[in-house]
Amino acid sequence: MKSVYKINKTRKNESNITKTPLQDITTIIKNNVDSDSSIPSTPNSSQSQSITSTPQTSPLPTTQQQKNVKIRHATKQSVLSFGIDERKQCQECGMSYLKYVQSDVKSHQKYHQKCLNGRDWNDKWGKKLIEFNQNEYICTLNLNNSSEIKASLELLEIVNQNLNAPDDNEFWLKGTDSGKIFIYVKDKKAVGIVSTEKITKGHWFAIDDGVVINKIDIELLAGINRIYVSKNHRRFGIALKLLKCAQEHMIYGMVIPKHKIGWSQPSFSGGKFAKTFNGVKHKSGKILIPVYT
Amino acid sequence: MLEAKFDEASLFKKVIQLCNFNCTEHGITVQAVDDSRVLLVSLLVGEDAFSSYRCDRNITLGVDLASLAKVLKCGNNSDSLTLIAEDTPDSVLVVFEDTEKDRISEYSLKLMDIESDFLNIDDMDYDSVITQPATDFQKICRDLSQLSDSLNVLVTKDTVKFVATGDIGSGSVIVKPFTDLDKSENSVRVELNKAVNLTFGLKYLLDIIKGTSLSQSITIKLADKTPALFEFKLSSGYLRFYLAPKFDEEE
Repeated sequence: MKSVYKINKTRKNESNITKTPLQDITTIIKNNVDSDSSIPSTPNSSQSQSITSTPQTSPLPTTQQQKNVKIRHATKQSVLSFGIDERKQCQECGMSYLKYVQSDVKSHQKYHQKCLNGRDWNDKWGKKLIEFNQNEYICTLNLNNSSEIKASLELLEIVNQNLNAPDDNEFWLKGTDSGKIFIYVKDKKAVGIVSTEKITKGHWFAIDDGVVINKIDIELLAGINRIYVSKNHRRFGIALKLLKCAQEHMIYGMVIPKHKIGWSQPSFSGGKFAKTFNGVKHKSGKILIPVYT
Repeated sequence: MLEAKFDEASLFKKVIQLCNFNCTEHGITVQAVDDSRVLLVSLLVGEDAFSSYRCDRNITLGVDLASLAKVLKCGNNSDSLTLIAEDTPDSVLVVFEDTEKDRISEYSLKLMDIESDFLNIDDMDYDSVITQPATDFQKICRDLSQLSDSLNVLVTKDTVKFVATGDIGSGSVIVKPFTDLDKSENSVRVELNKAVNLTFGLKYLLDIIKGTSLSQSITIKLADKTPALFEFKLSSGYLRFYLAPKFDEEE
C-alpha cells in the first residue's frame, strides 16, 4: 500500500477566523510513487523533465541561456482529496486501496490475481514428485534455489494474510529435517501449498465445540502448518492431493499414516477438511481431530 | 421546471464525460472531478440567470455531456431553451422555442445514475488573489504550454510571474497590477499576503481556460500547498476550477 499523507491545511497566521476551510479539499501527495506513470494524465512529465535538467540539451547554449537554466527537479502531480474516506476494500481478496490512485489500483489488480488464481511458477523450479498431467504436478522445493524460496515465501505471505495467521513459517528453510513445503502447480501457477513440520506429540481437538482435550497426549509424526488453495481453484480436491503427497514424501521411505498427522489451528474450512481427512468419531458422538501447537 | 440557455455544456464535455446536475431552488450546480483526481469543476448557474425558474424539490440529473451537447446543437442561438424534469426523472426534456416563428422542438434526453457525492466547498483564505482579464490568462497559458508541461506561478510583491521551462528553452510572463478606469474589466489586481510559488500542470490549465468565453475576467486564488482556485464570474453564478498543484519530487 502506498502511504498517503495530508498536507497541513491550516496555516498559523489564519487562526483568527472560525473556519474549517479546506476540510473538503486538501491535496495529498503520494509517497514513493513508481516514477513510471502512476498518474496517467501526466505521462511523461517526469521523464521529459529529467532530460532537460542537463543544460547541454538546450539547442544554443549561449552564456545567457546557461545562466537561466537551473537544474530543475522532476515535479509530481498531487491529487485532490475530499476528506471523506475513499478507501475501497476488495470483497474477494480483502485488499484495501484508494481507487483514484492509479498505482494503487494497479497493485491491487496484481495482488487480486495472485490471490485468486495463484502465483506465477517457473516450470524449472522445484522437484516434481507427482505429475497428474503435463501442466499439473506437485513439487517440493529445492532449498538451494533462492528464487523459488522467495516465490514460496511470497505465496505463504498471501496465505497468512488470508488465514489471518502469524508470519512464522520459515522453519522449513532450516532443512528437510524440520519440515517440507509441497506446492501444487497448475498451468505454471502455484495454486496450492502445504507446509509440513516434524512434530512428536499433540492433542485431540473436538472440532464442533472447539475444545482441546489436554489430558491425553497423542503421538504424532507430522504437522500441517499451513494448507491453502487459491480461491478459484478450490473444490477440485487439490488440498487432498497435496496431503497425500505429503504423506508419502515427507519422511523418506515411509508413508505417514493419516492418524499420525496433526493440524495447527485449523480455520473454519480447514477444520472441515481435517474432519473428512482424519477425523475420528468419539463415543460421545463428537468428531475429534489431532492438533498440535 | 426551469428555463435557461446553456452555453457551458460544450465546455464541460471537454473536461468531463459525465456529471450530475444538481437542481435546487437557488439554481443549478454542477460538480465533477476528472478521472485522475487533479481537477475539480464547480459550476453554479443561479436562478437569476434564467428568465423563469422553478424547482419544487431538489433533483439530481445525471447527464452524459456528449449527448447533451448533441441535443443543444439542435437549437438556434435565438431560441429560448427550457429544461423540464419530473421530481424523480429518468429523462430530461429539452425544449427549444423559436421566439419569432411558432416553431417548437422537443428533445428528450435519457439520464443516468452517476455515483458521486456533492461536496460543499467552504471558502478559505488564500495567500494571494490575482484578478486579470480572462483572455490575458488564456494567452499566457497557451503561449507557455508550447514550452513545457508545467507552469510555475510566482507571486511576489505585486508582481506575478508565470514561468515555463522545457526542452527547447524557457519563457516567462510578468504581470503587474494595472488599473483601467474606463474599462474596469481590463484591470489587473494582485492581493498578496504571502509570497507564493506553485507549479501546475499546463494540461489542466488548458482545460480551465476553455471557460474564458464565459467571463471577462478570471480570479486566481493561490495558497501554498493547497489546490488553487480559478474562478470565472458569471452574470449569476460562477464557474470554478480547483486544481491540485505539482510538487517537487523531494518533498
